Amino acid sequence: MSAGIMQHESEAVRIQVVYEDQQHVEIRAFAVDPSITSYNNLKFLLMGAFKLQCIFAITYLSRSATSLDSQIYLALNSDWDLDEAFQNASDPILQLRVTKIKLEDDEINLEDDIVQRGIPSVNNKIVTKTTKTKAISKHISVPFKHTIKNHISKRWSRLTSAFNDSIRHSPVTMAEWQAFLDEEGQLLRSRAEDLRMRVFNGGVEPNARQIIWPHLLSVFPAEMTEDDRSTYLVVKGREYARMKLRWQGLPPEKTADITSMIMKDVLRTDRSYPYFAVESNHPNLLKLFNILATYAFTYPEISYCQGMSDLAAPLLVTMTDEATTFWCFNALMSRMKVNFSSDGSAMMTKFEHLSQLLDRWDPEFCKYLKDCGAGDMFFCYRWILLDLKREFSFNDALRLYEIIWSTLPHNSLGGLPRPLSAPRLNRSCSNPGTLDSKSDANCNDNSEAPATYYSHYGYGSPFVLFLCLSILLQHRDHIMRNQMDHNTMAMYFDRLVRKHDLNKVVIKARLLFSDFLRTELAPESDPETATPGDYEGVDSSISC
Amino acid sequence: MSYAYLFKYIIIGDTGVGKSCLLLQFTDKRFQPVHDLTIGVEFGARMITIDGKQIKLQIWDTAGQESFRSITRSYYRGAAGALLVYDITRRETFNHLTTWLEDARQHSNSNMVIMLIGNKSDLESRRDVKKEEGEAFAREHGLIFMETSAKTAANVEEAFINTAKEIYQKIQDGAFDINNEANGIKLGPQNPSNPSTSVPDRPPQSGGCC
Repeated sequence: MSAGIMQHESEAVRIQVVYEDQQHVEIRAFAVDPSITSYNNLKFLLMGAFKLQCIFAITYLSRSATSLDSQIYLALNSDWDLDEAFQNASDPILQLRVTKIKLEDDEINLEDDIVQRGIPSVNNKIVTKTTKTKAISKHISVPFKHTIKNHISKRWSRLTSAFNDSIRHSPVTMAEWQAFLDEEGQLLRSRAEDLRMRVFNGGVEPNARQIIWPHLLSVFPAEMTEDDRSTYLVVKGREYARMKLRWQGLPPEKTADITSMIMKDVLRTDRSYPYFAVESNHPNLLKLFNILATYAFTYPEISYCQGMSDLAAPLLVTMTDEATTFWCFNALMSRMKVNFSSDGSAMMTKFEHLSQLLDRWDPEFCKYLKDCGAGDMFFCYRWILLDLKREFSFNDALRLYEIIWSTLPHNSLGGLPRPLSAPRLNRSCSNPGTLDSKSDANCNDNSEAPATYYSHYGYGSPFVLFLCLSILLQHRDHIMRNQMDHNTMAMYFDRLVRKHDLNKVVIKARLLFSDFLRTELAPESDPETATPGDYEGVDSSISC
Repeated sequence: MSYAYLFKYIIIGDTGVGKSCLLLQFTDKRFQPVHDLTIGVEFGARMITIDGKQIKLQIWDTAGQESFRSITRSYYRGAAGALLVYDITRRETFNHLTTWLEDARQHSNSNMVIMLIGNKSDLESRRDVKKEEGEAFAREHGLIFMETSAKTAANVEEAFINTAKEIYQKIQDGAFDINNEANGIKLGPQNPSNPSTSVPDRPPQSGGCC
């Protein structure tokens, strides 16, 4: 995801690529701008150029070796390698060699899925007309389809370019964060959305998370100066201390049931991560315990449920201060608490929405799931309950979380979504505000003009569903090819716990989300002007 | 590896009674005291031999505290055996057995074999539930019973294997319709009864959702 690490002087680098497999040799040449070409970009270019549907290795000819008789090819596996190649091996031309890596049948071939569904071609542009776009259009009535084809708005093209940029953006650094603030340290409303867009595209540098996360979580009221924020944290720190004392002062027999359950779980939460790989009486574990217990006793109607410790752990590791972590957790829970309600209605809604989205992108796979008894999507339970935290390594989960939060409008975490209307593709807010620098007066859900997008989908966090969708689409071929039944598929995904590749999942999720927004934000789909016919096909797709 | 039968198990019981540890001891023969708490369900599998036949156990290890009941109910779907686990050092986990049992009976097929397990038998000094109490409960409700220790591995093999023997016996007695996968039993490719492999002397497969 990160862009080239070093600065490059030349504007274009010529590249010659030799691709060899058992049948043939193919050579292609093209030029790229080294300042905006990341390793991932390059990979996608090559996939497009040679129509690669397999895992492959890239090597480059080392220039320091060409003076010798033998030619040495070095591995090109990362942005760092690519920078090295641009810097030292691109004069007069960067020579690459692409070789196919043979995989066992049951290994997961993620690339082929990405190729099929449209990724940058050689001219460095996203191919927007993909197989899946066709699949959607099947569900959209003719006038609407026609409109999309012919009237792609400026709004959309700006959005698209933001998405195209996504794969070359690097994480937000402390220095960049400072640039988002005015002289008093105030994060202006107008800049707040830019910040979210940047985080969405590149994440946050680990050392800047402690500062930026509370903003993403809407812990602070908008437009506070740096001094205001410091004072606010002090006040909130005292408030937390009082809340904690309140339950600690209760007779133990009244609290024991809950506290013993929380402690049991704290001792089983991310203990392999260094921060928690400590003695059981270590302050780090005690902090996590106090945060969860204070939350449980402050909100007895929610109390404590398993899974909450998984949500709190990344916050504590990042924030480290107990009181600040509590307020971050509190903010996060205002959106996530619905997942833990005993009637399960929010979870059911999310499963249903995921199923609808899957049907929209991949009706064949959706039908497959339905036929094998997995149409309820329950096998995605842990994904949705924890915003996919357990599906990735702990460090990747930190990045995942900040990306998810960046898609939520400021303070959306502070309130539940508006009452759910009929499950259809209507939008409560299609405000493209900062993308278009023009505020949508009809957007009453958020007067702050978010680049973020509010949707009923996913109970107000649609992007999470697109991450799920991304994973499903990446594995659908493997699942269908092996004719997995419901049980086998649940086990298959269980084996992938903490093993998914975040970059792949996020890149694809962004593309899917972008596709979704395109149809949602298309001018004719404005709720004021849309006719029922515009949605006819879409509505009928809600059936899986 | 091919097998004659596949049995689906589900492990249920209060949080912290050692369900995941029992599974790990059975599948990997190791005890891992610090194990991430189970969210939703996790899986394990192992091959065993009964009466000279290879049987694959597919084991669903569920979360002890589940707020979303529809999910828990879905785990029972097609389970042939259940291990209902309590912790002999915590009486409340024993007291909750009735609720667990009601749930299991309500959501599973009537032939499901239930094994009651009093786990943590290595912690004799902290025992809170007498072995006789476990035996009495099992007798009263028609369950098989064992005390186990996931830590020392005592009786762990037996718990899983005896459950399988009971299921196998039910198959021999004709109590299970092995052609209906909703019963949690699947015929393996090497099973001569499997109509897809050869032997035509059995009725064609009638059910199965997939």
